[in-house]
Amino acid sequence: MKIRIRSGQTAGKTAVIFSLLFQLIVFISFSSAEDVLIIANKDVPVDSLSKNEIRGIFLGEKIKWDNDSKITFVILKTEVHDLFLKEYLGNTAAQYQNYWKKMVFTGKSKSPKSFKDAESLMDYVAETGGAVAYLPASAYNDKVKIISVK
Amino acid sequence: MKKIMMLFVSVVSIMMTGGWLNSSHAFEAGDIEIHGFISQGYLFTDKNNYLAETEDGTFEFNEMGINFSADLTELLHVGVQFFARDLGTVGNDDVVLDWAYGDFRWKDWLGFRAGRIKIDYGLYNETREMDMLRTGVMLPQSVYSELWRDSFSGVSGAALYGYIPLSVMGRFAYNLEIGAMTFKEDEGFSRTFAPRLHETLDISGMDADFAWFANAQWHTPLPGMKTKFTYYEIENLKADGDISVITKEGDIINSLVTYEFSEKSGYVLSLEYIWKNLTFTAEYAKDDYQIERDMEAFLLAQVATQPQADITQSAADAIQPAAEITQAQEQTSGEGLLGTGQPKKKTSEGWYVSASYRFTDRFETGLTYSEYYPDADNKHGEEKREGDKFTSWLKTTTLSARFDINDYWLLKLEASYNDGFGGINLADNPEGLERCWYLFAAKMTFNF
Repeated sequence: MKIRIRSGQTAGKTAVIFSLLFQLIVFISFSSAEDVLIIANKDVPVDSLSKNEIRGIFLGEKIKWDNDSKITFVILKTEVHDLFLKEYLGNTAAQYQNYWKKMVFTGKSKSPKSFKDAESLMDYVAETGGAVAYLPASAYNDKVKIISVK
Repeated sequence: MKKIMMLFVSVVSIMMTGGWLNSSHAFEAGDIEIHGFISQGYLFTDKNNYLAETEDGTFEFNEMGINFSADLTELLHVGVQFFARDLGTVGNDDVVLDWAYGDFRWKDWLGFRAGRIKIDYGLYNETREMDMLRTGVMLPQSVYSELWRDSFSGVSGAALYGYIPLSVMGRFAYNLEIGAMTFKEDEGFSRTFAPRLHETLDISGMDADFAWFANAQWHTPLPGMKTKFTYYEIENLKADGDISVITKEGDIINSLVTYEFSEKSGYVLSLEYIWKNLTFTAEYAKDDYQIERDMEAFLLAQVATQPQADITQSAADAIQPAAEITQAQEQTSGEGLLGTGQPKKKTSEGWYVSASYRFTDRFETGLTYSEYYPDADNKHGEEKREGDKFTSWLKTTTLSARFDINDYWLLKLEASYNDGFGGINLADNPEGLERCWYLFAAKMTFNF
């Protein structure tokens, strides 16, 4: 009987530990995803984008918004860059850099404009029609609008 | 050459010390963006000379390029890249126009390019001049022959291209190119074809009306996996040159001839899968060519129909204008003069598999296995002498290491074990060949 009680207690503790671990993993996963916000100039004619559309924009394949205005995307070269690439493009930073070098050295495009701090990036997006970018959620302010991900 | 290199290095040094490189490593002068690269390599083979005098080791292996680009309007992008290279006797650091075109992007699914455009062939032909865009030093020769490189570099013409999202089915991209290719008599493409057409052929010129390349690329729903199909045709390819033939009587006849190709086409099937830091690549390529007439048989047949005096005269003069030969050929088309019919279509075939892994931000390795057969119907050298059979294939295993010293500099080291010598110019090895040989390559590249 004692053994059974101990067994039940052990099972309960294990369940609690697993539950906590699961919640931690879920929290970490969600917080990683939520850390990256997709933002845009306020005149951009969409409020949400699919992951495929985001991938197309940051690979230079999708160049126009629905109202035919030009898309200008910019990148933020901080820790959030790696998170964004992993989450939305499935690339590492080295692979993404190689992709754009290929575009540049075959004459297909200029290299994407990049910023080293979120504040400068947000100022640029706020002042540039059709601009879209990403940044850490903690850096957001209402100079730009948030694009939700479908 | 030294002047060009010094000029390039000076410009780059000034730009770097002046702090003019922006965060994306480009130099910007107003709205014009400037990028460039320069690389110096070293090649060494334990046996056989390969592409240069490599048995003694050679530094005649370098590339450099600089490009300027700008967005003239929201939809119109223009740019130009100058390029120079040296590989043995090829290139000699002469500056050429690598690409120069205008790119009008009307919609996501439709854009136009016009000017000198890089040829889109397989996964890597467009970027083969840019060493920093791959793990290895040498591209797999089974699909990207170094000897064809100059002619397959670009076309002067136009292109249509676009990207089409396929929702849950992934993404589709296409690129259709048409234009004139450049063939020089002293470059690899001509030099490779000469011995295949006739063992004594000395090519004096090669030309084609135009060529077209069609590319379809599908990014599959499986993240990181893409497939690509390339098909091309070169229309009305011709090679002029001089051949020597020996008659039954033992007379040697030299004659100017024109080889006309009724077909020159090929395709590449490509697969690339990127999973985290691992990149897996496989490609298969096949090329066909068909010449209108065996010119040796034609010449011998023509000589056999002439009076003895004319044969002697032919042997003595040793020259007949190419125009006359082709004219005679046309007059005797159909049945063929004295049984000189159309030779069999020739096919070359090659494939490779490759895997590369990036261990850290600065270190990457790659392993590649490649097989190439210049005559796919004679893969084991059945039609060759015992000692020459290995010139019918080239099987290469390559181990590569790449060190990104910083964002601008990188160093590569590479070792290849080769079985065979198929598809390689034999002229660099007058003293004979060995079947199995090693190639070692090292290359340092700077890019911005």
